[in-house]
Amino acid sequence: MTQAFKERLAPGGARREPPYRSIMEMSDEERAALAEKLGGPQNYNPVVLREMARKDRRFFAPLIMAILSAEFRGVDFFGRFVVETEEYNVPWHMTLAFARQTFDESRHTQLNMQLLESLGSYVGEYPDIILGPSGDVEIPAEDLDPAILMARINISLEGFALTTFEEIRDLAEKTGETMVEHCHDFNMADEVTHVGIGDYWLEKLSEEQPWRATRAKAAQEEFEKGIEMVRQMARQYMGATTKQETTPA
Amino acid sequence: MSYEIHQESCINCGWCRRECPTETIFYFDSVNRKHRVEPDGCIDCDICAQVCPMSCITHNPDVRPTPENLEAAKVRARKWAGQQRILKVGLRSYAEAQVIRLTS
Repeated sequence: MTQAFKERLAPGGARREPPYRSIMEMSDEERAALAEKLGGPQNYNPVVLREMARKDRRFFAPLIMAILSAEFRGVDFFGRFVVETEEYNVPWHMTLAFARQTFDESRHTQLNMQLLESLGSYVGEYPDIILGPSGDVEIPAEDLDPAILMARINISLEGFALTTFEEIRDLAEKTGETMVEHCHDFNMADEVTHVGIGDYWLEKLSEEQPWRATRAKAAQEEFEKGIEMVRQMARQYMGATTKQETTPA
Repeated sequence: MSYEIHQESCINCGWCRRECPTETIFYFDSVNRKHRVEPDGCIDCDICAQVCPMSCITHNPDVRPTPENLEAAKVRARKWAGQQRILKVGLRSYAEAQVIRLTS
């Protein structure tokens, strides 16, 4: 048995210049600077920024950075996934599909970096919206099953990303940001393929090992419940601060 | 009338399920790991067909919910629309206030 590929890789996590710096890692000065630009860290998320960009185009830049952060994370995640599939008994062309997906995420990263520049910003002006590569975080072995990962990330998370990209594309179309519209239309087409890849391979793996389908579905349901809980909290917050409106019958 | 999801083309992205105003598209209880429309809750709004990235949801005029089920589904849809409106209006007014504060 040869040494696993990931053990032969140089130690240390993925690097980016400027390095990953999540919103939680900001200094007090950086926090104050962000508050001056965006009104506070609570506004630094795609949902609020999208509505702020609807009013003022300068908020497109932090919106794109928020998306770009997730794309960087995608390159890291799928890149690792390609390497780690070596440890599971999966078809080589499934690994190839995830290599393609890693390439797609890299392309999205480049697209969004250029987009950021076209909007007068750059990587580093705003913090990363999510944590960087989590090389040191211990993930339970059962959660590393390719079927579980595909159900959570490819199907569920990328499924949600479809809605996000479409909402940004639609906003860009309405506000005349043709470059943003074009790029996010392109990204969305890739996301459809990624969901399709996850669904196809989950089906294939489950044909031989039916327990995988059951576990994957449970993992996806749990993951979606978490996302729905956040949405529900947002609804409750907005419901508490907004006058109730009735919808005509 | 109801809608049907063509099982061989569906990629399970869940977009239709998230947008359905009557929550009548199901996935987690499905036997064959695919999304399906429960016709009794369908109000024929066409939202699912419009958002489907695979264009695999089509209209089936032969399947109709009972009048009672249709009325119950419409009630659910009105409630859903009301909640969506609250969220949209609340979010927009919050964002607008933030922009005004930052630009003034």
